[in-house]
Amino acid sequence: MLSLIQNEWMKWWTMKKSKIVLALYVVIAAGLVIIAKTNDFDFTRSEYYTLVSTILFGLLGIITIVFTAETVGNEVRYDTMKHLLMSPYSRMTIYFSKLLFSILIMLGQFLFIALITYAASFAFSEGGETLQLRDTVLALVNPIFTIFMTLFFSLVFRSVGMIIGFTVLAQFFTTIVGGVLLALKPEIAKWIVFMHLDWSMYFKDAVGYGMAEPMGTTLTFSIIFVIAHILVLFGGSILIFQKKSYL
Amino acid sequence: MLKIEHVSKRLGKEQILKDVSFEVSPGEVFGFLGPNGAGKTTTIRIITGLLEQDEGTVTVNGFDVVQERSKALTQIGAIVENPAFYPYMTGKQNLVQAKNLIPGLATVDYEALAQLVGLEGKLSKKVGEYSLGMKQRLGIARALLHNPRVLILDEPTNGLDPAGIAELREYLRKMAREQDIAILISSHMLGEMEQISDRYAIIDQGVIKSVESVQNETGAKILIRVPEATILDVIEVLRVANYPAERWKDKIVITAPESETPAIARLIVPIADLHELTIKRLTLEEQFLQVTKKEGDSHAFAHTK
Repeated sequence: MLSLIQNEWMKWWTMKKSKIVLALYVVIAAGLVIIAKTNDFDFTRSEYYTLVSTILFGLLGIITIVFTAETVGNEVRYDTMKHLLMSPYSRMTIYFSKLLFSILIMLGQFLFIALITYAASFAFSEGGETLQLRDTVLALVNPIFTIFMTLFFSLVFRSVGMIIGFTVLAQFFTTIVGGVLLALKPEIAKWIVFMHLDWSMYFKDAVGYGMAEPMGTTLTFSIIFVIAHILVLFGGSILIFQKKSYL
Repeated sequence: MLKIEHVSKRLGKEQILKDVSFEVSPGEVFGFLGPNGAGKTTTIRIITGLLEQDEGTVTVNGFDVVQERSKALTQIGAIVENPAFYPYMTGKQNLVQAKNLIPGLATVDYEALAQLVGLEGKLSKKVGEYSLGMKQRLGIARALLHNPRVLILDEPTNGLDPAGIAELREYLRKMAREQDIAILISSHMLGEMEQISDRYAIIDQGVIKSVESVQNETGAKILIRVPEATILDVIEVLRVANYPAERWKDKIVITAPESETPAIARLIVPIADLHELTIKRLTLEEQFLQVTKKEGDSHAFAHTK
């Protein structure tokens, strides 16, 4: 399993886009410091951290879809899937290595973003960054769910473009529908999984606080609901990957 | 070494393979021939674990490909259809990827491998910049990386120039002989296969039509020249001994296995002076056509001669 994850790392790191993405995070974090300083914006550390981390974690969500889609999509694109399937490793092990790598690389980027944003925030006066760290950690459930969903679509579709497009559209439209339902029919909105991907909404001092109230849900409900969806996506992925011939 | 026994496979409504059986021994280069859609690639996919058969068994060095998948596949090196690589990685990085797919494989001498397949000094180049011939060589290097006991090559001469084909031919024969590897090669190039293979199987419409030795055990033509006055007597003696013989100009043509030549000579010498004896071997293409009786379909094959 470890050697399969090493392979995934090599595939990721040798792509130019991996370095470009990391550079992009640094450029955005540093760029906003420069913009704020040259325009005399009176940011506190906390305000800077909230703004930049919101932008970068939003970007991480999209990047996670792209990288996860490519872990399977590129194997089909380059016809290298057959070499994986011809190897002595079982399909289950191959799927797990891809899943685990996608989560690890997302967490790696998450830490990288948190680190550079935290470091850059020292350019401003003191603020309460501990609070924001808790909220960003709680929001991690979103990219983790996205990975399971993207992997599922990557086993259904063959092209990377289709996988990314379908995942983004599914996420985008369901979130919009959820938002509308939250205002009009909140009792229906609670059955949309995308409404449960930021658990900071259950903490009074968090930015998203209050969203759960009209839906009448609890943190336990959200946790169970999200895990149930993850299990369905996981089971579906395993089932498809075991059966699919990739010929 | 590689044993395929009574393998059948149905895909959808179509019966792709019907009771396919053959065996490849250590040190043997075995040709796998058949027109497009005959079932060659399906058979190779079953051997390499990419597809599961409906009936029958495939064993590699005694390990069942379905029941003992991991052990069986560790013994196989293969190129299935075209060699596929990550184009943005170097040749060496692609080989490292392959190495990591074999559990427990400790070290690999990449430079020695590169030398073996004629890619010295080229492993640091990105595969996207490789020619098709270089990719074929890299594919063979990858298939050999873990010293497999069975090597499966699907159309390995595609994209190679004549010098490359000759080099590969020598290399495969040497490897089979010296390292006792069983090599299965599927190809359209009948002339090429004739020079590489020891034995071959012909598959058509999912059925193995024939498993033969390239040495023409069934179909050699033996031409003899005896004095004009003795021709009819000699033909009679041969026919009595169950050798189909007929007159052709001033010669007699006998259709018999090549190995029967000494026995035929012994029959003739007591009754006539043997002035000439020639063995005309059938080309693989002629043997193929003889077996399949599909003269009109010969366009499906490219003969290199």
